[in-house]
This record gives sequence, structure tokens and C-alpha cells, in this order.
Amino acid sequence: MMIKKIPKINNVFSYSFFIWDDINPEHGSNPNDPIDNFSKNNIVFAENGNGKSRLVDILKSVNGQAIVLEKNWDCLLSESQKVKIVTDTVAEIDFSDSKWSSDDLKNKFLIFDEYFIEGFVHSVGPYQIDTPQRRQERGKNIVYLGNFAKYNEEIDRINAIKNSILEENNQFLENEKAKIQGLLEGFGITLDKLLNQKDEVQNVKKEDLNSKKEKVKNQELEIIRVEKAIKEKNKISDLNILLEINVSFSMEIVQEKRESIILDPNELFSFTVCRGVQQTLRKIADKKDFIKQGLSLIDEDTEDCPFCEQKIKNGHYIQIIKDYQDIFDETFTKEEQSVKLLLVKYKKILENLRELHPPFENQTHLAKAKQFLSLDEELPQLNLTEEEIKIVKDEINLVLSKEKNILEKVEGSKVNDIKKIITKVNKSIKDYDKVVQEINGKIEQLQKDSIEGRLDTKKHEILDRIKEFKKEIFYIENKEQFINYFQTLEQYTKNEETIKSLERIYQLLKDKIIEEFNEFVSEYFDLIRSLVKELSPSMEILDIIGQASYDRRNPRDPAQCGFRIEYNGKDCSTSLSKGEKQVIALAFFFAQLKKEKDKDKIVVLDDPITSFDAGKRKSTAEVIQRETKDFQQLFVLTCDPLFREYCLKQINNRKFYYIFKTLGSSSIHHMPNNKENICSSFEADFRDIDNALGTNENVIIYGQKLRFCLETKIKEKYFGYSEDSLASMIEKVTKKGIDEFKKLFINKEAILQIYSYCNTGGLAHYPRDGSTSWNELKDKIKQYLAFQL
Amino acid sequence: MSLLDLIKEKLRNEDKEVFSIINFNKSNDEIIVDIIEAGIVKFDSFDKKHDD
Repeated sequence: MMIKKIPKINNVFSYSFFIWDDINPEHGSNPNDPIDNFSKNNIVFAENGNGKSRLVDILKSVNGQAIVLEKNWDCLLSESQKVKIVTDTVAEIDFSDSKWSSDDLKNKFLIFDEYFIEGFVHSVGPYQIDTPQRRQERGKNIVYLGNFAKYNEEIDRINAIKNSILEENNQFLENEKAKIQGLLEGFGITLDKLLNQKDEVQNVKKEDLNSKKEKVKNQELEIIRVEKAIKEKNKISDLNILLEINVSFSMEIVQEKRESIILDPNELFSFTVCRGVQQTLRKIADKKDFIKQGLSLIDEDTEDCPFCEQKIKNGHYIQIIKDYQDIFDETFTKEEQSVKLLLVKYKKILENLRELHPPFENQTHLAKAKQFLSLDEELPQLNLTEEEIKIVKDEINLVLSKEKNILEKVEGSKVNDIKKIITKVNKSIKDYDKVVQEINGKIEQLQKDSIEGRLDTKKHEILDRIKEFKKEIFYIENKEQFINYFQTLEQYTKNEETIKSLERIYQLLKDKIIEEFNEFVSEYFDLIRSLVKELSPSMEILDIIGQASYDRRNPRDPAQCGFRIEYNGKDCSTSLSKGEKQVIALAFFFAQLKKEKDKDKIVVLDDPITSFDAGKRKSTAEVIQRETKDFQQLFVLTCDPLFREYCLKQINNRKFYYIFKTLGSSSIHHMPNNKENICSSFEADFRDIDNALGTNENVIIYGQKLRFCLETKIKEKYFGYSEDSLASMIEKVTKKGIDEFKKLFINKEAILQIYSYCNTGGLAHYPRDGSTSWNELKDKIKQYLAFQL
Repeated sequence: MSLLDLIKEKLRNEDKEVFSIINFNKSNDEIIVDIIEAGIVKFDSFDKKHDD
């Protein structure tokens, strides 16, 4: 994008009413490409105070920089501000109501001016006073990438945030610690121990509190017993162990030859003659099945043998019956005897049940042992209930009744209940014996401990247990607070991770800055150095000392970041002259142009050579031509005639403009090629003065032109002011010849009088009231022409 | 984008949890509040929490 022209600047700085087309009427034949429009390259010349840097401010403003476009002092306050800029791609960009109508030109300019020097090149200089602010901003660099104070501020902020969180986190932990510290001290436990027993604390249960307290109570009683045992050692050996019952009731009867049968009382009680006979026959019948069947058919009236179906009169049957009868008598008797015997055994079982009781002496032994032992065990009850006793007694009576009349059937047996009672009693006996064994074990252990002198150790073990139980009670009662503290610790650790993260960010910020500086050094510094050498060959000892670093001892110290540049062995940041600063700044600016990828930009240089000698002016113009040729457009603004001449010579494809004030308003004048020698151009106007109107404006314009011609022509033509070397200057002066210089000597007084008239007379104050006579000025101009300088 | 912004952007990618929440346009106290509200750091009083 290129700027074609600036059609209007009203009420901005010294531009009170500038209209491009009024000032530059040379529009040429093509209205779309007037000859006075800005070109690819533009050289703008102006003397101080005419509005050159203000034009740069307007460009900075449209570039998006924070520039306030002040109103012209002579304009009415109510008068609005207007700026119009025409580009080759956008019809018009307007400034009105303190804002630009479009952002099309935003960030389109690369501007070098005195602010660039101050912004990027820092050197206190021999007579300037350094300040902490300046030190903060520049770090220890001569050329830097930005405001170090800004870097420091953000880096410090990360550090401050980190420290705040760190402090808050420590306080958070201290507060929570304080809450439990008193508790722990009261119990005599350290914080470390609590932390070591974290799992234990977490696992204790509130519902166990009462049982733990009970245990403490029991253990305290145990202590009393152990102490008694220690004191009355002789009584320990006298303690008796308890007796076991060690019996078991059973319906199983062991017979001769160790054969056993299961007692069946129902069978016993139902024993009769018939049952006895049947029992007997059954026993013999199983020898021959047919006999069994036959026998069942025999009775007193039987006539036919059931076995052979013959009449029994033949006598065989009688004999058979006799044989069976023998067998029957003997077997039946044996059966009867067996029933009687089993009844006795059954009765014995029942009587034992009825009489069952634990050994009486056990209670006495136990009571004695309890003086020295804490015995939780109780001896189980063995006695039958009244109901059970009744059942047993009734059953005994049935047995007695049966024994009296063995062949009579007895009914009403509760053998099933008896069996249940036996089962219950057997279990009770087993339980009883088990308890007795446990108690005996303790008694024996006590006796053993007493004999072997272990009671003191036991006492301490109990004391330790009490302590342990009390600790558990302490944990249960304060569990919530301890859990809170554990959670606090976990959170504290998590917070520490964030603090570490912030510390890492803090370090990274510094590291990244160093990284960027190193990148800058590798990319830019050689370029800057070669450009410095080109601009100012005498400034060749410019070097980087040491590695880039970032280090600040405390927040008020400047950042020791970036790289240090020495010039002629001295630290640049304290000793550079104004010109040297400007050379480095300009070299940095050109280096940036080289690195700039977006060439669709407009380069603006506002008096880049103010502190330069003639040699640097020439080299600067050459470098400008070379380094800006790829960019879209160039504006070089200067108040220096010599530099202007160099630019006009060095820069191709350029147009020339001259800014001076007319009627109090700065104006941009296009100077066509044939009028680039401004003095010649102005003198041409002077020669045509009789055709000019004697307006107030022309009084000002012609007066300015007269002063400019006098000063510039004498300086440049007579003294070679615009020459770049002494040789050229002397050559030019010599060429002028002594006769020409005579004009100066002869007209000296008159020249100075006219010059004084232009500077201190009414012309210098831009009168609007016509007090300066047009005719008077015309006389002065004609007088000037007559000098033929 | 300034160089510092560029550096911050790189860091933002490296430490998403903490750095991404830091807004340099805010004051330090506001940034700390943001960090706390995001739950990245906590200074809860657990007792108080239980009481609530």
C-alpha cells in the first residue's frame, strides 16, 4: 500500500488549514496520477518548526501508535480536526472526531525518529544523569528488544504470586498444625509419631470407643492382680487347677467282645411273650425260609403239616415241634435276660443324667485363682431344667415298672426327649471342660511365670497395653481433627506442586528471555555491526561481551539480562555520544528492515542524521536507498540541506517536497524536478513578482522564500555547505572565484539588513493585518535579485 | 505480538494448568483469586467445611 497524497490537514498541530490541491496545483495530464502525488520514494525537506515531525506524528497516529493529534493553537477551539489520506488501494482514510475512519494503514509503517533512538538505544552519556527507571528499562543492553522494566514487572509478578501462595500455604499449614498441637502435647505424643501412625488413626472406629475404655478398665484391674501375685508369690503355687467332667452320655452300649449296640428303649419297653416268641422264631427262622413260613401256619389245631401237606398223625410233625420247642425255650430265656440287662444300663444312664453336676470344688479353686488372674471365663451351667429332670424321672419310673414285670408291655416312654437331653448335656460338658482347660492354662501359666520370675515383665506388658488402648481412645476421640490435619498436609503438598510450577514458570520466563536475546544476538548483531561500520567506519570496535543472562539480585536492581556491548573498551550503556547512539539505532533500524518479511510497508525516516557529520550523512543516504528499495514506499524527512542533497542524488525514483508555513499553517509543497534547486525556483517566482497578488498570504510566502534564498544560497553556493568533503567544498569555493565573493563584501550590509528584516521584522511574526507592506517586500526582493548572488 | 507476549504464549502451552489461568491484565490478588477459584490451590479449613 502507498500513500498517494494527503489532501487535507485541518487544525492538527501546525497544520491549521492545509489543502493539498490548493498548494500543489500541478496535477498534470492524468487526473488519476497527478505529477505532484507522492512517489515510491519521497524526500521531504523542512526547516525547524515548519511541521516536518508533526507530519510524522500524523503518520504514527494512523499507524496505530498512541499519539495525540493536538489542535492548532491559532484555530478556534470549536473548529473540528480533519485529516484525509489517500492511498493507492483505499479511496480515503479520514481522521475526524479523534479517530481514524479505517485501520487500513495500521501497522503499515516502519518509522525511525528520535523516539526510536531513545526507545532502543540506551546510553546515559557523559553528562546525563542515570536513573533507576532508566536502568530498569534498559537492563545492561545498548540495543534491546523492548522495555526491560516491563519484562521485570511480569517476571516479578510471577515471583510475587508464587511467594504469596507460598506464604499463604505455610500459614495454612501452621494454622491447622496449631489446632492439633495442643492436643498432642496434652497426650504426650509428637506430630511425627502421629504422622507415622496415620493409617492407624484412619482405621480407628468410633463404635470401638466403649470397648476400648472397658479394656483399659480390665487391664487396670489386671495390674492390681499381677501386683498382688508379685506380692503374695507363695500363694500362687498353692492354687489348684480345676477338674474336668470328662464324661459323655450315649445310647451306645458296648457288649462283650467289644461289640456295641445302640440302646433302643422303645424295644425294651415293648418286650412281651408274643414279642419274645416272635423274636425267637425270627432268629431261628432265618435259617430256612420255608420253616419260617411254615411255622407261621402252625397252631394247636393244625392237622396238616404246612411243610409237606400230609396228616400229622404219622408222628413226624410232633417230633419237629419238639425240636423247635427246645430251641424256642433256650432262645426266649436268653432274650428275656438281655432285655433285663439293657434296662439296667438304660436306668443307669438316666440316673447319671438326673444326678449330673459339675465338680463342687471347682468354684472354690476358681475364686482363689481370680485373686491373681483376671478371668473373664465363667463355668457353664450343667444342671438339667426342672422339666428335663421330670422327663428323666418319668423315664426311670418306666424302667422300674418294666423291670418289675418284664413280660408286660410298658408305654409312655419319652426316649426322643431323653436323646435330646443327652445331646444337650454332652455339649454342655464339652463346653464346661473347655472353659476349665482355658482357666487351668492361665493358672498354670501364672504359676510358671511366678516360678520363673516373669510377673514383672507381665506387669509392664499390661502397662504397655493400657497405654496402647489409651492411645487408641485418644485417636478415636480426636479422629476428625487428625483426619483434617492429614487432609491439610495432602493439600499443602498439592499446593506446593503449584508453587513449584510457578517457580518453573518464573525460571522459564527468564530462560526464554535469554533464549530470545541469544536468538537476537545471532540474528541481528553481526548485521548491526556491519551496518554500523558502513554508516560510521570509525565505529568499528563494537562487540558483545559474554553470554546473554538474566539475573537480578533484588527487585530494585536492573535486570542483568541480554548482552553487554563495548565500544572502544567502554561499556556502551554509559559512554556513547549522541551521534554514536544514533548510528547504532539507525543500524538496528536497517537490520530490522532486512529482517522484515512484510515488504508491503512504508518506511519513514525523520531526520536520521541530526548528529551526524558530513561523511555519515552521505553513507546514510546510500544505505537508505539500498535497504528500502524492496519496500512499498519511502519517506525521508529532513531539515538538513546537505542530507537533502545527498538523498536527492542517491535515491532513485523519488519526488521532492518542501514543508513551510503559509499564513500560519504548515503546508506540503511538491517541488518538480526542474525546481529542485529551491533557490532557483524561488528566484524564478521573485522575477515574476509583479504578476503576483499582494495578499497577506503572499507577503508571508515571499518573505519566507526571501529569507531561505539568502541563507541557503550564501551557505551552499559560496561556502560549499552541502558538499560532503573538504576537498569538494574548497573546490566549490575556489570555483566561485574572488569576483563573485566581492559581491558579498560589497553588499554585506544590505544583505544582512534584508536578512534581519526577514527574521526580526514583521515577516517573522506572520502578520495578518497587512502591516507589512507588499510593496516594501517587493523592494527587498528586487534588491536581492540585483545582488546577483 | 510483543516478544514478551510471544514468550508467554509459549509458556501457556507448556504449563496449561497453572500458566493458562494467569491473566497479566489482572492484579496479583485477582490472579491469586483466579488460581484459588480454579481449584489449583486450596486453603480450605476442613473444620469449617465440616461445620458448614
